[in-house]
This record gives sequence, C-alpha cells and structure tokens, in this order.
Amino acid sequence: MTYYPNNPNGQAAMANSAPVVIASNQSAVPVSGTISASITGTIPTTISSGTITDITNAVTVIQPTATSLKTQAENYVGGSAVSISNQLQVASSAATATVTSVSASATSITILASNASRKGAMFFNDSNQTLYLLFGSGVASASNYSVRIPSNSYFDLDMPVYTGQLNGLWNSANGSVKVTELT
Amino acid sequence: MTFSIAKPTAVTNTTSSVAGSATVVTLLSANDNRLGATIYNDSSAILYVKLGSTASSTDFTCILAGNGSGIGGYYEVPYNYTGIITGLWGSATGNARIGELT
Repeated sequence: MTYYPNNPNGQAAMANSAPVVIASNQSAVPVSGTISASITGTIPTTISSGTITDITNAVTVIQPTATSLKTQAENYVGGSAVSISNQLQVASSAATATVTSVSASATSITILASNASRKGAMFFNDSNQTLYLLFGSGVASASNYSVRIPSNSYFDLDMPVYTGQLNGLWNSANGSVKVTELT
Repeated sequence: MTFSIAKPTAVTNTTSSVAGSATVVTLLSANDNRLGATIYNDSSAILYVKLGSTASSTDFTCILAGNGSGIGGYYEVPYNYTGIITGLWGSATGNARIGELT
C-alpha cells in the first residue's frame, strides 16, 4: 500500500501523514509522561501511588485496604495547616432533652437505662431524702453507690459521659428524681 | 503526624432578662450556635428550669433558689445543649438574668 506524498523524514503534520491502524490483537502499549484528562464515572484501573489534585465535585474513593488511602484534607482546617496555634476544633452539642420523673423507692431501682446515644444527663433529687446513685446495673444500696445526692440537690454526669445504666435508692420512698437526658 | 484538637471556645456573651412568670415562658430559644448558657434567678421566688419545652413544677431539670437570702440560684447549662430552655417561677416576681455564649 502506497500513500502520497511520501514522507521520507518520518513524523510530519497530519495532512502529510499516513493513517495507522492498530492491530485487533495488539498487546498493551506503554504510555509514559504526564497524562491530563477530565474523568467522570468510574476509573477502571488502580492508582498505585501519587497524588490527585483539584477535586472540585463530590468524589467517592473506595479504600481497598486499611492503610492504602491518605487524604491531605485531614491535615488542614480553614485552609491552614493544623498546628498548636491553629488547632483542629471538634464540636459536640446536644439538641434534644428528655425529662422523666422517677418516683423515689427505698429499694434499688433503675434511674436511667443504658443509652449509647446519651450526650449528657442531669439529676435533680426532688425528695426530702438522700438519693444513692450507682453507675451500673448492680443493686444500689446505702453502702454500694457512686454518688450521694442530697435532698433538693442537683448532679450531672462528667465528660466523657457515662452511657450505661444508673440505679438508685432513697432512705425512704419520698418524692422523685427528675432526670434529664440529652441526645 | 500529631493532631492538636481543641474544643470550640465562646467569645460572645449575649445577655437578656426574662420577667418572672407563674406560667411557663421561654428562657432561651433553640440556637445551633450556642456553646453555653448561664441562668441567674434574680427573683424571690424559686425558678423551675427545664431543658426542653413546657416546664412545670413537676416537669423540670433543676430548681434555682430565690434570692431571698441575698443570692439567687445560678445554673450553667452543660454539654453544649442547643435546644429550647423553658421555665416558670413559684410566683410572678423578679427576673431571670440570662447569658448565652456563642
């Protein structure tokens, strides 16, 4: 097959070049250098190493192993590198409060059930008797408790918030405890 | 790399007064930006405070003493609670002095 004009020097402009057809059974052709592309959809390959920059839209990256993915974004807050003078801030707030009233009892009862979603809890002992409050599901008693809440007194859980069950009892059954749980 | 993590700090205190009422009133509206709140009962009557709506004398989070002895009860809202706070007094007298930190 002959094409005119002939190109005796090898590479030339398209108008002066012969078309090339890649064989249907061509083996993989290596590509070197920098590749620039605008990609949407799924990238059907593996990125073994390197950096992806200029991600402007939502992108989902599936991490094949626990240690193979690193994101530079985690090192930055507000566009500045995290440092002792520019600390990463993590806020935790509670928007929902649920108040319950638990009648006083002279025997151990559940004051607040376990709740993994608990962000805080407050107790107001609305009784003329001391409340013995136990952090745990065991039997609270006057000798087995975590904190004593005097009559008409307030107590709230420290941080980090305990999310397990709380039991309690009073010296005698008078009044109640108002329990506020934040989630 | 070691991260340095800090809790957000409040730099603004917005104060307000709510007149004593024997029926439930809103002490603070919900505010997602709230980082803390203080309530001082500047009334001779006790103040029932509830984190949530519809406080009553049987449905409350805490009771703040009246200022009859000179100093009323004081409460700092914990856990960065951002929801509504309501209250009512034993009788309609005095005020609640409120600070909201953002």
